[in-house]
Amino acid sequence: MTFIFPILGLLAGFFFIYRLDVFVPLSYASYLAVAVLAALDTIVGGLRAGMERRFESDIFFSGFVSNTIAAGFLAFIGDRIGVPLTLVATIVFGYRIFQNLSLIRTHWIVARREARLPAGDHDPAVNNLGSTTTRRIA
Amino acid sequence: MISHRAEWIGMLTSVCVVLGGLLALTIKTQQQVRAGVPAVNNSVELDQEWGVLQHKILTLQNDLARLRGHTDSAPERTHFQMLAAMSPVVGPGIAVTLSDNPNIVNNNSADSHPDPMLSADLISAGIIHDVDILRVVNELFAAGAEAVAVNGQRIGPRTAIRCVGPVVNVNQVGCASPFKIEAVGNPETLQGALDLPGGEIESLKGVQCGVTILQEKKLLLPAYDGAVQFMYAHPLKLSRKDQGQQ
Repeated sequence: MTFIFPILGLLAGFFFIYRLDVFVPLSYASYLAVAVLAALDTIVGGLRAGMERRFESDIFFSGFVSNTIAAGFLAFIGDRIGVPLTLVATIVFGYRIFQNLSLIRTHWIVARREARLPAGDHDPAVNNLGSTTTRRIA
Repeated sequence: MISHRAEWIGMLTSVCVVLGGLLALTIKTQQQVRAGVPAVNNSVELDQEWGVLQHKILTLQNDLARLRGHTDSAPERTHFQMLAAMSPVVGPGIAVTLSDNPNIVNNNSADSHPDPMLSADLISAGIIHDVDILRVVNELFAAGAEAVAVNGQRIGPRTAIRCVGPVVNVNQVGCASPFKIEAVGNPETLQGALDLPGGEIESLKGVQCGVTILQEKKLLLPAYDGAVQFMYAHPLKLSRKDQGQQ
């Protein structure tokens, strides 16, 4: 089970920062939350891209950094100009996370079904999914 | 494909470490938001400061008492101290205890349903407020009380009695029901003044507040414990001419 590494990494990062005496000023709490949501969205997107065998690490990494920073920054700017961009980011990222999660689940189930079938007898759903899913823009 | 998968997992792992850190930071910050930590920190600090200052006051008061014992013993000074409520006094008088209407207090407790027949006005009337205490204290002074204390707080020249949320502050010290008002004076006169028909005590009894009045042979009232510093008021120095005019 190779997915143990990302999970271990997540836990390691979590507990390292959690035990550290680092705090963010309370007025920036909401921007940080949006940034975390953006980061989560990028990771779920990367997970999906990998399952579709379209994963490219440079796109993924640049997407992670720029999305996270841009989300926090836009939320900050939104507050300054009186537009609730925090809300917009929450809706957009939340929507994308749920959509990608459902695609990941579909891919996973299809892959399992394919593994069980005898060689050569491919499930048409695999091809359909592969052709209809749009290329991920991270 | 193996390399693609390894690259994928490796990248996910490294980014997951960062996400974990960000998550931890957010959770810690949100915990702070919920707990309102700055206020708590502040109250702990203030509490410590209060303790230190209280200790300082005690030390200074001890010093003052010791030095006064050495220097003078003029009877005039004792009289002024008593007038300013700055010395503890002993004497006969009455002790009045005022408490909230027990039915209302029980009705407001968490485990019972409030009586729908009780309106907000009725509930408010059944609770002892600052004005109730003020009226009783005023009545006692009017009847010739020489010293009055509320819940151990001596009424001095600069005493304020005021509701602050659920408590009543007397000399800036929070007091809660039951309020014990002690007054040194002629017990019969003081009791008679309070029993006046249409007076404060009668109206409090009318809304079923707990009122007990006891005549005491010996009451001990503490000295005034509130503000003693003057920042704006200065003694007026009268010239000989001014004194002549007066």
